[in-house]
Amino acid sequence: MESLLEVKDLRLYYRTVRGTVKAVDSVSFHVYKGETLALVGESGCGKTSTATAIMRILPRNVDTYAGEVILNGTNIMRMDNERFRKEIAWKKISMVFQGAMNALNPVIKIGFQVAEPLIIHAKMYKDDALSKARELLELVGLPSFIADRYPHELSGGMKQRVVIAMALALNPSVVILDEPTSALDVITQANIMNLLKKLKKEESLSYILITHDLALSSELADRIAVMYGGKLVEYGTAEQIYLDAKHPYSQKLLSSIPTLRTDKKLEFIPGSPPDLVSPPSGCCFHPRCPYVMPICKEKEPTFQRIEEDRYVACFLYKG
Amino acid sequence: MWRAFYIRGDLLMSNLIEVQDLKVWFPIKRFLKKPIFVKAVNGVNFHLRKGETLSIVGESGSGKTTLGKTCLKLIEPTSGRIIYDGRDITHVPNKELTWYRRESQIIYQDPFSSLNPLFTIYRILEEPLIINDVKNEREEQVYKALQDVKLTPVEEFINKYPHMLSGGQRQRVSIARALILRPRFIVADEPVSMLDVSVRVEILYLLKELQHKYNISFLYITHDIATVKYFSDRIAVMYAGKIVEMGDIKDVVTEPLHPYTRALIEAIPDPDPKNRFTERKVIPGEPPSPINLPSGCSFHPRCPYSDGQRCIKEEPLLRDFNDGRKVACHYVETVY
Repeated sequence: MESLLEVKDLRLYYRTVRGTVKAVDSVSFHVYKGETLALVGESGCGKTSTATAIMRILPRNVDTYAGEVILNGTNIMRMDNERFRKEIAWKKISMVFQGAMNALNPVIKIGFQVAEPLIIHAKMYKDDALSKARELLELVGLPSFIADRYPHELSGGMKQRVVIAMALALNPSVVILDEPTSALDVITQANIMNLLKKLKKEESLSYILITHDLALSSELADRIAVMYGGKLVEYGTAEQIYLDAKHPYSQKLLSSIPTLRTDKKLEFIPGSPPDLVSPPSGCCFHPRCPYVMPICKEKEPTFQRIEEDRYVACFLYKG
Repeated sequence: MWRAFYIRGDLLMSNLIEVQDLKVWFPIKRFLKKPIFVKAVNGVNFHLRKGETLSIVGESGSGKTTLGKTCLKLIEPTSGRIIYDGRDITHVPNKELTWYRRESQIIYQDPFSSLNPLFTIYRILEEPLIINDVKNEREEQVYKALQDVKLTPVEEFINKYPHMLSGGQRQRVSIARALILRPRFIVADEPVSMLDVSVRVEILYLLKELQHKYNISFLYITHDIATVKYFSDRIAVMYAGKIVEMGDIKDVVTEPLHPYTRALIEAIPDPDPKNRFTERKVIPGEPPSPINLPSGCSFHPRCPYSDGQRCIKEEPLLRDFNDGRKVACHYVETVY
């Protein structure tokens, strides 16, 4: 299958007082057309940093920013900032930020806020942009009169839909969703997930879904990349990961999810995620790994292919 | 006759806290007009036995946090009764409730804002002891509390500040703070919803372990039914300030009777790769405004089984269904 977005050896390091933080360290994955890739892992493992590295929304203390991001065959990492902003950001790749619904401007009507990217990026006239905004609101399942409301008049779920509408305004082909339903109630969460499924089917969108909740990611994900300590530790299709996870971290993560319909003994992962300034030697999961071997403490496992489109970084598996 | 008395006495003994027809209405004052009321809790009955966990589940705005805080007497109830260990504490003034402040504690949702950032962990844990005039062996008690929540070696944590700890560790500190006065009743208000999924279970298991160790009763407030199953004995589902279903956790999760409970359970995904091919069945609409509740059953505008007549006019009572199960729906028998 044709890949739409390819990330190769992406690295993003931050400078801090304590030393260099390797937030994203040699991350590589594919996103295929009309498919969803879920980036999962605990907090502080570099999921959001990966997304901001793709979107080039970088803080000031960046130390290293390297690698390749190939969108439709062109390496967008080589573009200068101005061209990236004009041609790629929001037009080709857009993002729904975590907690974005609380970042809506409280004194501007919803319609104008949705129309703003159209006026700035697509150079539309205000009236055209406003009527397009109404269409977009209808696309995400809101009545068009919402355009004349202020954010405080809407519920959490409605605001989240507005933010999704903004991300879709310029017809991007890849949408990055960073914890799109955290802080929402379960019924609202199910509603938003249904909407994202519908949009994925109808508009053949590709998503990168960032979440720490493997139960939630099963609602959208076709492929899953498991991150730990700034690196990918496993990559495969949803079936491969959910039914037959290879990496001990993915297995542990799966067995820690509370389930409603099946009875299972829950496990948890002892210890805490690694400190990215001074990560453990060798495989950075080794202090928490139940299958730790002497080699794990010395050498870092390579992210190797074990089957077609399936990668694991663990010494338990040979390529 | 003494036997009847004994049974009655035994029943009274085994309940740690009993709440009868509790109402908490907040007035909104309006200029030259009658005030209107936000009916946050609108007639709730439940009891919590010693050493038991009761979960209160519902969407945001259903009144579950208000209910928890009212049980702790942090909010004055409008009407109804709260009986703690056989004593009516509903209208006891704050000055005479110092004993209750030691007996009952709360664990808040957000471990990032519920700990004072300028205090060391030692100072945070010492605070309740200072307030309650414990003069002896404070240091020993702080050490003991940290060992109880497994923040060991204690020396490593005791002089740290909250920002130096991870979310899970901070939540352990706030559990230790709640435990240090040896309470018998703890309200845990979404103690794990801000934490990573991988840490949630660890914290819930810890709470369960401490419950057995110190015979604590928990009121576990959450919107996530999935975690309820691993922590509590009984569950009460709240909607618009009322309990709509109550029963043993296994019964309610495997066979939900109220349409709202069904909808809540239906909305939660299990990790299954097949989920992505189907849309989830979701009830329409949003929870009602507690200022202007719908007539009759407050769930009728969203209910797929509403008959459009009786449900609109007549409010269903929470009635016994079978062994300990209570449901507030006119059509429990016919719908299932």
